[in-house]
Amino acid sequence: MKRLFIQLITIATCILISISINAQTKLFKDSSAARKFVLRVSKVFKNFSSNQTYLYGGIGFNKQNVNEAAYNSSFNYRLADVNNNVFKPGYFAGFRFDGLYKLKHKYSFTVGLNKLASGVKYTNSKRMDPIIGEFANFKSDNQFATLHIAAHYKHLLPFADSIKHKFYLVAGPSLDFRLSKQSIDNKVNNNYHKIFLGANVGVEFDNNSYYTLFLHYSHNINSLTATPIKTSLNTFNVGVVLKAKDLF
Amino acid sequence: MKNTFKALLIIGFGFFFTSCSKVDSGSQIQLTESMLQGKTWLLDYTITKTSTATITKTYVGQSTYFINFLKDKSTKDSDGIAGIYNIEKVGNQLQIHVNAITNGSNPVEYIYNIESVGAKELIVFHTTNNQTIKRYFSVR
Repeated sequence: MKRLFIQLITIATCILISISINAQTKLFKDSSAARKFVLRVSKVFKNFSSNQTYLYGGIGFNKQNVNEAAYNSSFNYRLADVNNNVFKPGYFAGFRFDGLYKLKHKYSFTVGLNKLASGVKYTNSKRMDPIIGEFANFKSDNQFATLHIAAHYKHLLPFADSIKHKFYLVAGPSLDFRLSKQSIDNKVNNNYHKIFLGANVGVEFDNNSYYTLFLHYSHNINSLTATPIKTSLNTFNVGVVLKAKDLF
Repeated sequence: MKNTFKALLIIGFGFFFTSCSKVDSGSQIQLTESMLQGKTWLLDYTITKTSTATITKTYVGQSTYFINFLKDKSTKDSDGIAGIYNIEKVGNQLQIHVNAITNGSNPVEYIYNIESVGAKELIVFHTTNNQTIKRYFSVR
């Protein structure tokens, strides 16, 4: 029920933002009520202009770092079976809206779906002699789907011919809403949060507006899991951005 | 409209900060069953603790006691005791509750408290006559 409510809030936010973008194209000029509504929404976003809609997709390499030293449960997992100190690939796709804030600051707003697959590094271990060697009481979920929302500030870097080829440094916050259920191993104590707040930084290469390649690094700000388990997620996203009107 | 967005943000962050870690007993029982079932558990160690002493016995590398927990909730051990078992949670304690019949057709009922259960290791204990006996089982 909570998840459904979160999804509704997210969808409502996306719709409002989409409406503000459409307001500039006078999509609803036939309906006066709709026009009034659009105008009201437009006022909220009056400083956001020159919006362009893009599609993006790519591969994300993810790894979780887990510290569960203070966590106890009746379940044990051999560390050799669950510890996997590598970055594992997932994928993502979605919509992106690029524009200008107050006619000079470039930004991008992203809404998409992430299918995360991650390696897991345990930063602590426990022992229960004589039979159990190194083990953990917590087994991390290494696959889940999220609704990803991010806002980035884009700073043009003074490289190369900035008319045709633009390099940007981007940074900003992101929110991920977990859509997939927890595994039974974590459902027992409801270990995973529903929302992950992250910070992103990265570079983007705009090739004459034909396409944009990007590399983003993301690190979560809040733990993915409830206390006392501390879980951080490191992600490298590599992808491409294309103008929606070039595709459709 | 600004207020609407503020409200949405506040609600969103309200969910963000909710970190309730409530125990789901049904899932605990389900997970315990999935870890126990379909395996033969061999006794490796017993540790008997009294108020004055701790005695450890090892059965590693020897012919040892074993018990099966099957998916149809039936159980049979190396002593020929066969019957049914249930995973239960009493208070905060997960338990294996066995109702069985011995070779001599005598009914027997016993309860193991689960200290720790995994895919390959199981630690159970019970307390009688002021002594606590821990049994360490493993799957090979």
